Amino acid sequence: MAKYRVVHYINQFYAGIGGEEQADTGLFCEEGPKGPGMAFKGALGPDFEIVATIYCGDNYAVDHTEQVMPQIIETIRKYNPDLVIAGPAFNAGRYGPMCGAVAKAANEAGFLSVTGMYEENPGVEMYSKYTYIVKTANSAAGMRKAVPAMAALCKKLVAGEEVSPDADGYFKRGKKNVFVDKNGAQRAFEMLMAKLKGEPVVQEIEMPPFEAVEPAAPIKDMKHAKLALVTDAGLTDKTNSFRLESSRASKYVALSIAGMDSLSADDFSANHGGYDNTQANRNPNVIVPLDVVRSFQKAGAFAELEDTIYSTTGNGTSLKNAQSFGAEIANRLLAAHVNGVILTST
Amino acid sequence: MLVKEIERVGIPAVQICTILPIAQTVGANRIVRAIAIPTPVGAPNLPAEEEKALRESIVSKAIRALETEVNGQLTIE
Amino acid sequence: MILIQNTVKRVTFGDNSSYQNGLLTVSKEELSAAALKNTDGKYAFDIDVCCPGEKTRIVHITDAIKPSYKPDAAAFPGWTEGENKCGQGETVQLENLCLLQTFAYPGIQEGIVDMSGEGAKYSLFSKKINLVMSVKLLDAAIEKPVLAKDLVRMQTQAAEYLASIAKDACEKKIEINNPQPSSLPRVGYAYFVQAQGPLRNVFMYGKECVNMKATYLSPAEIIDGALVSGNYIIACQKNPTIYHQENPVIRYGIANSGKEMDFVGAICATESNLLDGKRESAASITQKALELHCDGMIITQEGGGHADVDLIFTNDALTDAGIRTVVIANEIAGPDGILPPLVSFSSKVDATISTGNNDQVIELDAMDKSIGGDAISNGAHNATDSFKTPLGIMYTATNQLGVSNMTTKAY
Repeated sequence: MAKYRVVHYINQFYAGIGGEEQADTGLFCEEGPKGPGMAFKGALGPDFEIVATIYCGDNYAVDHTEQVMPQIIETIRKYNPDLVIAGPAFNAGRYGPMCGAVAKAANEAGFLSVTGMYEENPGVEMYSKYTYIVKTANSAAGMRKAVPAMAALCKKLVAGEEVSPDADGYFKRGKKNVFVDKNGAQRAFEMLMAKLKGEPVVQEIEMPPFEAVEPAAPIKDMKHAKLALVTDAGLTDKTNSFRLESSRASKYVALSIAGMDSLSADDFSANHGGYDNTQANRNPNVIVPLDVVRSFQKAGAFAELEDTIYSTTGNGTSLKNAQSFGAEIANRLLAAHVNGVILTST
Repeated sequence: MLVKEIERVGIPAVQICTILPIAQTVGANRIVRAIAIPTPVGAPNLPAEEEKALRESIVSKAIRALETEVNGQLTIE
Repeated sequence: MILIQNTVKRVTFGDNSSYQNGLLTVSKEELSAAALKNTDGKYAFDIDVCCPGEKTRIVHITDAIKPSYKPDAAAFPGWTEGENKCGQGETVQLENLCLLQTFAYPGIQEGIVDMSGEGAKYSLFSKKINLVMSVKLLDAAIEKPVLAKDLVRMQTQAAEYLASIAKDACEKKIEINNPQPSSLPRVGYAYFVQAQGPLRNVFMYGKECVNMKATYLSPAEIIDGALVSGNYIIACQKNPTIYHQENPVIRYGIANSGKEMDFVGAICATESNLLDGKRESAASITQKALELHCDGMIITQEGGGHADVDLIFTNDALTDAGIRTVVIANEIAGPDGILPPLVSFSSKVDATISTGNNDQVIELDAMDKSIGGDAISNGAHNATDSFKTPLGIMYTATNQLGVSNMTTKAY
């Protein structure tokens, strides 16, 4: 039987060129295994052959990414491997992301790829979604454990066997919908019975924390400040000429309120699938309080109100879309020299 | 989520919302409690004057939140 | 209560309605007339039937209901004529046949069922015969609250009529007994419904559940039409009438009651628009669960976002009272399933069942035929096109009662 062909990516240190002083070493490729490739050769066994080792200096890779990456992929293509291994990179802060980038690019070019890193390596967060990153110790002292773990995963992958983060020791890439042999209600009863007996249960939903954002500094001088109104209540113009969606929004809209003292139901409406819009359509100030905000401004509580209300629909809208709308709105507010924002949510 | 992106660029942003645990879980820095989901700053069952006063008190709290130094999470009920 | 189940194997249309040995012949005129009672003639229907394996896509689905008829009472009390003897006496239900209603209207969100291909995996309706009544509005000036109630009235009246065709058949008889206490652990069910006004409503005995106080319902009442859906928002995560009638938590509970546990029934509560309302629901469910001496509770939601808070408040209140809990929920976790799946959580949640991730993208196959409309609601596609979509628009794909075998798995 033909052997599985492997291309291995490592840095200048593991290639035996040298440490930090050699980090500007360029990109090279040699046939056969090199450095940790020797250990992989043993762990992968006789069915595998490391046909080539690509290596590059850590700094060179970072400074010349745009040239280096296509060259690496071209080299990998030339050897037409069954598998690409990168690293392991342990906790190395330049090597890790580079291993991740190589593994990701190999994957996108249609090759299976595996790398290995320590959990705090920035490469994990950047690339765990795109490739298999086996969990390793934080230094090269963990090589003896990392190689067999990565090799075991490689063997399963080339054989087309099913793998999982728990069983195979890699960082979760994502979650996908699967069908099991019992419906949700039955699984719930079985889980409850286990809980009542004091047996351990495995939760089906994991809740990663939401990312925290450093609080912005407060407004020191409100009397001279410029405020803006933003909402996720689905506020739109009367006829919704923007076609703002009532759920799963793909956009936000910019509504002019220049010279207005309140939101008139003749000019504005609500289009939000998550709540009953009747009251909002009768008096839009119940979702965005322009009437009160304008009277506060006239009374001198603050100096200026931005002429645009930014609005979207927060109903089934993906986190990703919400983040990108937020970032765009934030930049427009910065450009308009806004000092503070009042956002209303339904 | 929107307030977080706005705060990220350094502009203080207060979220007026009814269901506080959501804003707290998602990680808003400045939160003011609203009235009801369909009418966060309204109470259509109240007489117009009282409703306006309620709306004013919520907007006042929002302005106060923008003037407040925040460590962690500020929630004004 | 005695449930008489007649299994429909084929549906044809004819001048007179009849039922014999699984063959249901339906008179479209009689079905329309039954559906239109008490609606002032403001509607008309296209009536179609479709079967598993057909290259047919049904779009704009508002509700799915199980045909049900009671010889001496209303099948859907509060909606159809007759006394309320819900959970008592005899009920004739049609199996393997589902009545779907479709209607396109602002505020009603897209809901799709594919009868074959990739999309068919995500719906249990693709495995049944579906009789589809596509509603056409003849009076554009109708008020939304009137329209919302008429949709439910037409659906329940039509469902009662269909089962009445087979009222003299008796293919299978099952006795549904409400729980008898024993010394086994007692399990209850916190059953949230999403009722927030017209087009987003759930009804108990014909009354909308908006602001409803937590209310005990026996398994027999739920199976027998106590709860009817008028909730037409996010398609994948709502509970159509048929899933109240066939609620899998209730069904599993009564089928297994007396084995490892005693199933005591459901405490039904509404997802409030107010923070204090949510706290009250959690507290009164807990109070009722204690009165029922529950050792464990299963909690389900309807809808996402704010509804997550009802789940969490209730889980925490029950846990604090010493009652063990399991939460069933779906996930809104981004296309790759790596974003936080719920918008509220607590450290007291330690047993969760996932019914799938709404945001996963699937590719629907092209179909030969569509029922319910020529285009999907956002106008982006012809109804028969092949297109990619998040699971969110697939009708009941991630249903939060746990009807399907879908879950999520790390990869």
